[in-house]
Parts: sequence; structure tokens; C-alpha cells
Amino acid sequence: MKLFSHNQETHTATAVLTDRCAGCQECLVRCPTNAIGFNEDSWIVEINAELCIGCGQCERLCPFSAIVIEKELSVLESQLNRHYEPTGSVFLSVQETKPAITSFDAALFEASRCLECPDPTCVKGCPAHNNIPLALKNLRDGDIDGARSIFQETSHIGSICSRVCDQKSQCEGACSLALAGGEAVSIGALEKYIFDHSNGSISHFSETAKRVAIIGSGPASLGACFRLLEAGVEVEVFEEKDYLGGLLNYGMPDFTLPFETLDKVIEELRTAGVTFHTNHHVSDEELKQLRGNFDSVIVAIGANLPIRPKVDGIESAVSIDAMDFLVRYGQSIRESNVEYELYGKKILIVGAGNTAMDVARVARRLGAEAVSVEWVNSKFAKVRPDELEEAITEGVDVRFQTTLVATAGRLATLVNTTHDDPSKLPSIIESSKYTEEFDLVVMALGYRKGGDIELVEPQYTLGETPSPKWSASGILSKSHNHNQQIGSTSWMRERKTRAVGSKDNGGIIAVGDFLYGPATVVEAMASGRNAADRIIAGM
Amino acid sequence: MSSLIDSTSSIPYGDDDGSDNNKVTPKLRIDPVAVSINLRPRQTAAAKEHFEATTPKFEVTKFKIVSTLAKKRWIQFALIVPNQLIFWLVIFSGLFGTLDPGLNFATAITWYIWFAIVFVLMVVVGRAWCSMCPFGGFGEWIQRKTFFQRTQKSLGLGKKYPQKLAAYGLISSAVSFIVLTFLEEFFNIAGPGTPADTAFMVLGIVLFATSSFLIFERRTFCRYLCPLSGLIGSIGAIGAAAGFRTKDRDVCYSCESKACMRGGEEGYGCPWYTWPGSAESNSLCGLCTECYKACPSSNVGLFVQPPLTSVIAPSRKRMDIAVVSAMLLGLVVFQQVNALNIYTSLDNFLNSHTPFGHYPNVLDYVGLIALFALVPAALFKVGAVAFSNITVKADKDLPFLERHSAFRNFFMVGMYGMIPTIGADYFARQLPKFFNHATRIVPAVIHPFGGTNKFLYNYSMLGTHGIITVQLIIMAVGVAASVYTTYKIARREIASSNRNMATLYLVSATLIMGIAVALLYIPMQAAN
Ligand code: SF4
Ligand code: SF4
Ligand code: SF4
Ligand code: SF4
Ligand code: SF4
Ligand code: SF4
Repeated sequence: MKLFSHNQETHTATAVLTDRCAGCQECLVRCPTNAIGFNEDSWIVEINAELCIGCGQCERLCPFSAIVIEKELSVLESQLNRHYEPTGSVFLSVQETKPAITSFDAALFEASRCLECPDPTCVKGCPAHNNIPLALKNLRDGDIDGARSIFQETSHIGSICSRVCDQKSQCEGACSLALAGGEAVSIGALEKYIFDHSNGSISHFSETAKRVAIIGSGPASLGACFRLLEAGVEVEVFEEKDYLGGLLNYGMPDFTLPFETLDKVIEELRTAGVTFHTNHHVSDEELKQLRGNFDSVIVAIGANLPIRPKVDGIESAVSIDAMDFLVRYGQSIRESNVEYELYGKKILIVGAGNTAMDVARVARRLGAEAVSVEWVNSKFAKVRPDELEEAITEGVDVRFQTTLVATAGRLATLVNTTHDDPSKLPSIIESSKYTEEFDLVVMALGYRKGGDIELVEPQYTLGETPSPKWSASGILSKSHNHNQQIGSTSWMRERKTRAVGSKDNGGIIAVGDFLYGPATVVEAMASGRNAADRIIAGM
Repeated sequence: MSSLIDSTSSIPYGDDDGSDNNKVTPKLRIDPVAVSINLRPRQTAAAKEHFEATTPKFEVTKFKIVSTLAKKRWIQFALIVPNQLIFWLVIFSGLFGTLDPGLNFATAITWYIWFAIVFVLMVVVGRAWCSMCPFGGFGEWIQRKTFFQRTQKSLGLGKKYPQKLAAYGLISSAVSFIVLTFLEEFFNIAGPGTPADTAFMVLGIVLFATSSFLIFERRTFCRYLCPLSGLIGSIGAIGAAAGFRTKDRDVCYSCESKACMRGGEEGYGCPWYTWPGSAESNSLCGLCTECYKACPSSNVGLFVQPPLTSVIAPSRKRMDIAVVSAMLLGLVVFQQVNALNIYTSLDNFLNSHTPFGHYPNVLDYVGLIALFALVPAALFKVGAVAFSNITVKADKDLPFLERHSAFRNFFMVGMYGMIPTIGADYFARQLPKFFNHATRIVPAVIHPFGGTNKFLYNYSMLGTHGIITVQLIIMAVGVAASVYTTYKIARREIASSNRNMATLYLVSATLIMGIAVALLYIPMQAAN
């Protein structure tokens, strides 16, 4: 064991700064490979350079910056093909587009890249805090059902999350390997593999005669449902649409989240005894009634009021909101009841966020030409890089620093912008105006919360300072990863998912997007679960 | 490790459980983050033995008044402000006041009084000066963007001190002390000479400190760069303040937050990179009280210890402190010798025969310091050759602080043993200025207001013989302490099959060197 090891050939070094190491052993207890030992004479730690694989967690977490790791990460290279290449035409295709693991061997191989970190940062990056290392250990032991049951301790909808999560900014972004600048363990693909190759079950840990009503059937609602069922609670869900799943249904096109996957989850709940009421709108008035009939009411109606652009003459154009577009045409693809209505048409999509990409890709699947315009600089755009790349691959014409200023009939006036400072709004370059003809304008600027249920404010939030468990793992330190803010972003998510909005002394609890505005599916799920936890604890 | 949460204290994430609505039944509530954490065991079996000798018993923060004050965020600010005022006054008065160094507040306070006070503080309390230091204070206010609040964001680049330099611990600080002393001598600042030079020197230090605070994280300046840090860190070990230490080490081991290192709600992480959980000397605790405020378990206290404990008792002796001590010895003996005529002849000779034509000649300055620093090294080398029949394999791959050799074994014991002598020497050398001119502070203070006081200006508290007597007494105390210290350390740490003889040799070496430097005070005739 060496305090200092320098390899002349590879220019790698692992060193303990003997002057500053205080012997607190925070690093030693967290090293995944047990490469850190303790020198009892000097009361400092030592690194065994041969065992060290260069994950850098020790360097990130040492409070006194007393460890230096300058070493290439030496772990197995991932064999997962992350590159998206559509096979053949995308026309009417419902084939999933995200990388997938296709064999048990491949799953084993990928799972064996996990270091089983003693203080896993991936778990903090995942908003549901799935116990990833333990699940993957089960998988490596060949126990797929066991692996699934580990996931189910924190989330029953892994089949959904694994498909819709932005892993790069969640679990995989926070994986030690990614923080060290390497390729993360493909947690999402593994989670999908595990859920697709096993069957779910709901384990009851108590029985009670309580009844809870949930308004809305999106991810927050599903998260709460499963947790409440585990506690033996009787659950009734009220959904205003004629379909279930909220934005998980048509909001996620089938090439991202196949309808069967969602349907399987809903059937699981139905079998377990959840009553679903569709086409049932709950007003503020009825909410008060429900409050009387049930022990608690969870409001999980999401944030689905579309944000509309202010554009001259938009009334005269043929325009539609993104959600309406996705429902209408998603339905026609799903039911293979394709009217060739959009074929060969040219569609203008206002916005280039994730929803806009979904719209554009659905349009491409119906044979339309899709142009998406977004006035911010591509560098500051709020779109997942993988989605953007996939959309471009599928032939979507994405124009950043371009915006729609006026429409007259089918004629749209577009203009370019300058945008160099993310803290400022882009400014329009008047001289750059040009006109183009479109058959349809889709407004996809995103959503906000609202509706006829009185909004409530988040309560019982966590403090701003991350808990010791977070800082001790080193996730908050700047890392080699491009995504340097992964730690603070995760903590901010944590604060959101753990907040609940309450009025009327806790009888009505607001959760998910309805509470704090649009967020991700898994955050909404975790938020619903957290509310359920509070209800259960209050019994 | 992983289990259901079964006690309220471990309810996840410091959840706000204050209100009744927020109550959570622990049995059902699982903190998934905690469940996933599966730490390796800590190695703490040797802790008792390692820390036994250095664990202080007497806790000062047991007194309500002390603990209340130490908890206050403004306490260090309150300590710094008076010094801060004085040092701005020094700059101002040095630049715009009278040219007579004896009558200028800047020179009078800096060279007649301040130095003496710092030395007394150092020998008695260790890093007391650091807790009130205006230079560090100024830099830290800017770095933290506040005078005393706990802020989360800091100003500056927050860089780490280069690994290669940090590996040598306090040595860079001793180098900067030697450079500063050279500048003092070269420009005759400490003479004291022109008051403006003193002002420029102080301004220079402010600039150096502040820019270091803006480049590096925490108190990197104080730990590695400040000219006084090496001096206070080694000689201050004599002091009776043990510094802030853990009350119960086991609590620290199981402590999840390590807030004293990372920073907590109420306090910053230790600016000096010292963990109360493993500190075994007062050398690197700047007495800033941050850990005391930060620790969520109230597991930190301010302790006092018998004098010399931090020299004798630590299980881990540091090579940098041994080297710093030798350098400091070299410097102080140089300063003694340069008061002698023989030095003046040497300096003049070198000035006319080398490219450097100004007192002090760089060659004799560096050469003599090195020579006097090498004397103890040579003596301990002889000891190592003569008495160490245990072969300690030198491992060149290890970092500086961790290498082992027979020489190092003797050198470290010997140099730690010399610390009281060196401390006494610095103190004694400062005395003539103090006794002869300290009273000038009164005329210096009233001078700008038109007052004069010829009597106090020329008053000398002691005559030449009196001063020499005091100097010799102080040296005698220092040398006696060194003999005792060397004996205690050698008995325990010398790696020799003939420990008695080796100890006798080391003690004699300390004694002889001590007597030699003490006797130099006689021909110096209490020169400034
Ligand atoms: S975390 Fe840092 S200070 Fe603590 S033992 Fe490890 S290297 Fe030393
Ligand atoms: S880099 Fe990773 S494997 Fe290497 S010593 Fe640090 S924690 Fe252990
Ligand atoms: S739920 Fe999402 S973030 Fe969490 S592990 Fe699964 S894919 Fe990653
Ligand atoms: S997935 Fe990454 S962070 Fe998580 S345990 Fe495995 S290697 Fe560590
Ligand atoms: S915060 Fe307190 S208990 Fe924790 S390590 Fe520091 S001194 Fe010990
Ligand atoms: S934080 Fe504590 S240990 Fe560190 S310098 Fe301040 S008082 Fe000393």
C-alpha cells in the first residue's frame, strides 16, 4: 500500500496529501474497491494503486481535498449501442427508439460494470431513490424477480420510468463512473430489461379500512396508488379524460412508451382493487364532497394548461395545442386507423422542447414535414439532447434562434434572434424576417399548472442545505462530468418531490406537477408516493 | 447499515418534523437513500493508544461565558477589529506621520510592542494571534463576502494549494518568514527605519494575504504562506492552549455530517484543515471557533493542556515542523551573530567582492542561516550513525512527511526537543527593543496631537546589564525545557537498541547548542 504512487509511463497518480489528511476515513468507508487502507502510525489513509480503479469518489468527497486521483477510469467498457439509427422509414413506426438490452448475457455484462459503491451516488441522482446497486447485484446473481422487487421498494412503475426518464441528468448522470468522466452504467436500459422480464406484485404490509380518493391518473397518482395499496388502503381514482394515465398516455408517444406498457401497469392496479372512474371531472365543489366521503383526497391533476404564444393573426391560422395534436394523431397511429390527413403536409411547431420533439416525430410518422422553431440559442435550450438528436435523425427541421411573429392564413412570418446570454431573453433581428407556408401550426411551448381546483402552495419542504448524506457522498462537488451541477440539481428535485401541498388540515393533499409545475414523470411518481407515505403515517 | 428507520433522530434528510402535521411514524417510513448506503467499517481500534497522551482534560468551554461567546458568530470579528484598526492606523501613520521612527506610531507599535506581544501570546497560548490576525481576517472577510455571517457562496477561485508544495507542509511558510526578514534587514524596516517602509511592508503583507485568499480555498494562506505560520505552528506548540478538540472521539467516528470539516448550518468547515476528531497538537488550530459552531452534536470544546504537551506528546511528529525549527534556529542565530563586529567585517568583505553590494549580503544571509541550521542536523546525523543500529529502510517513493530513516528519527526527536530553546531565543532577542523603547508608544501616540514626552521617549526600562541578565534567564528556562523535552521524547521514540546512550547523546547535544546560543547574548551587549 502506498501513500503516493506515480506511474511514469501512464502519467497516472494516486496520492494522499499527507500534510492535510486528517484520518477521518470518510474516503476509506466509501471506496468501492477497498483500495484505501489506514496507517495507524501517521493516522492518515493510504491508497493501494493496484486496486484503485480511478472512480474518483474519494477525491470528490474528501472534505480537506487531501486525495488526488489522476487516473483513467479502468472499468469494463459498455457494450450497449447507444446510437439511434432508425431501421427503415419511420412512417407509422411505433418501434421504441431508446437503446435497449436484448439478451440476458448483455444484461449481465452491463450489470457487472456496476461497482456496487458503498455510498452510491446514482441512488441520489434517481428521484425515486431506487436502490440501484442492490437491484443490479440481484440481476448479476440471476435473480430478475429479486431485482425487480428491490426497485419496487421505491417504485412500481420502473417499466415506465426506465423508458421516459432523462437518465443522463438523473441516475446515470450521477453514477460514479459518469462523475469520473466515463460511461455510466446503463441503469435505464437495465431497469427496463428487469421490468420487462419479470412480473410485478404488491406486497401488503398492513391492512386498514381507510379510503383515499385520488384526482387524476398520471404518474403522481400511480405512485400514490401503489404505495396506498401496500398499506391496504382502498383507492378510487377520478380521471376527467376518457383514457387513463394522464400525460403517460398520449403525452408520451408510443415509440417512447408503448401503450401496452402503461396498460399493464394500470391493469395491475385494477386487479389489485383500485376503482377507476374515467370521464369524471372533479370541480372544487365536488372536491369538498369527496373530502367528506374519503379519509383523504390526493389532488394529482398535473400541470396541463397549455402555454400559448402571442402571435399576430394566430386566430386566422389553422392551429392546435400540442396535447390535442398528440392525442388525436397518437390515437390514429395506435389504432392503425390512419387517415392520410397529414401526409405530405408541412407543419410548423412553435417550440423545440421535449413536447415539441414528440409532436414533430409523430408528424414525421404520419408522413408530414415538420419544422420546429425555438427562439433561444440551442446551447440554452430545455430539450433533452438525445431526443433532439433522434428527432433530427428522423428528419425534423429544428431551427433554433428562430421564432414565429405573425401568421396570416397559411403564411407564417418567421424571424431570427440573437441570444448569447442565458439570463436574458433573446432579441429579434428585424431585418431577418422571412415568410413560409404551413398547413398547420402546433403550439408546443409547454404547460403550466391551473384548472378549476384552487391552487395550493408547497408545504413541509426540506431546507436548502443538502443533508449530510448527500454531501458526504461527494455528489455535490464539481466533477469531471459535463453535468457539473448534478448534485445540486438532484437536491433541488429532492426538495420538490418531498414537498406536499396541504389545505384543510391535511385532508386534501396536493402533489406532483399540480403543486410545483411541470417536472419529470419519476419526480411526479415520487411525489405521489411521498404523499401516500404521509397519509399512511398519519393513520 | 441498511435498516428501517427506527429512531426519530435518523428520520431522513433533516426533515422538518416540527409541526404536528408533519409527523411521520418511523416504522413505516423508509429513507431510501439511507437504505442504499452500505459503508465499509472504519478502523479505529488504535485510536485510544494513539491519542491517549495528547487528549487534553481541561475544557474551557465548560464555562458558560466562554461557550456563549464561542458560539457567537461575531466573536472572531470582535477579536480582529481592534487589530484591524491598529494596522490601518499603522499604514496611515507610516505613510503620513512623522519621519522619526521613534515617534511614529507605525514603527513604535510594530517593532517595540507588537512583536513582543505576539511572542508572549505564542509561547503561552499557541495560535492566539491567528484568531485575531488582521491580515487573515481581512482576506477572509473578502473571501466569504461577509464580516462574520455564515454564507454559502464564496468569492475567488477557490483553488487547492499545489500538491507538490503542500507535501512539504509548513516549510513554505518558514521560507516566506526568512524572505520577509531579509527584506526587513535590507530596507532596515525593523531597525526601525523610515516609518513609511513599515507601512509599505504591512501593505505588502495585506496584498499578499488578500490575493492568496482570492486564489486559494479556505485559509491556505495561513496554513502555508503566512510568514508567521511556521513560527507560531512550531514554537506555539509550547503553549498551554490545546485548541479545539473533540470531546468524544467515538461520536466523531460515527458522525455523518463531519460538519466541522465540511461546514454546517452554523459554522464553516475548518479553514485550517484541522479535524477536531484527530488533532493531537495545537500547531494547526487557528482557534477560529468555526468547528465549535458547526458541530451538530456539540462535540467540540476548547481545551487547555500543560505547557509543552503539544511538543512532547503527539504520536505523529511532523518532519516539516522539525525542518521549520532548524530553519528558525538558523535565522535567529544569524540575527544574534549579525549584531557582532565579526559579522560586519564579513558582510563588508562580501559586499565588496560579490555582485550583491548591500547589507545584508544575500550570500552571508542565506549561507549563515543554512550553516546554523545544519549544525543541529549534523549533530543528529552523528547521533544516528553512532547509535541507530536498527536499520530503517528509507523509502524514496513516499511523500516527504512520511519517509523514514535513522537520521530522520534522531533529527525529529532532536529538533522537537530544541523547540523551547528556539522559542526562548526569539523572545530574548526581541527584548532590548522592548525594554529600551516600549515606552515610546506614549510619545508616539500623543505626537500627532502636538504632545511630547521626552522622558518616556528616552526612558529605558532596564539597563544593558539588566537586559542581558533577563535574556540569560529566559534562555536558561528555554534550555532547561529543551533538555526535559528531548529526554521525554527520546525515551519514547528513539529507535535504538541502546536507548539510554542515544538519549544521553541527544540531551547533551541540545544542552550544548542551547548554552552556545545563550552565551551569544553576552557579546551582543543587548544590541537591538
Ligand atoms: S476523506 Fe480526506 S481527510 Fe479524510 S481520511 Fe480520506 S483523505 Fe484523509
Ligand atoms: S478513486 Fe475510487 S477506487 Fe480509487 S481509491 Fe478513490 S474511491 Fe477507491
Ligand atoms: S427511475 Fe429513472 S432515474 Fe430512477 S433509476 Fe430508473 S431510470 Fe434512473
Ligand atoms: S450504478 Fe454507478 S454509482 Fe451506482 S453503484 Fe453502480 S457504479 Fe456506483
Ligand atoms: S461535526 Fe462534531 S461530531 Fe462530527 S466529526 Fe466534527 S466534531 Fe466530530
Ligand atoms: S475550525 Fe476548529 S479546529 Fe479548525 S482552526 Fe478553527 S477552531 Fe481550530
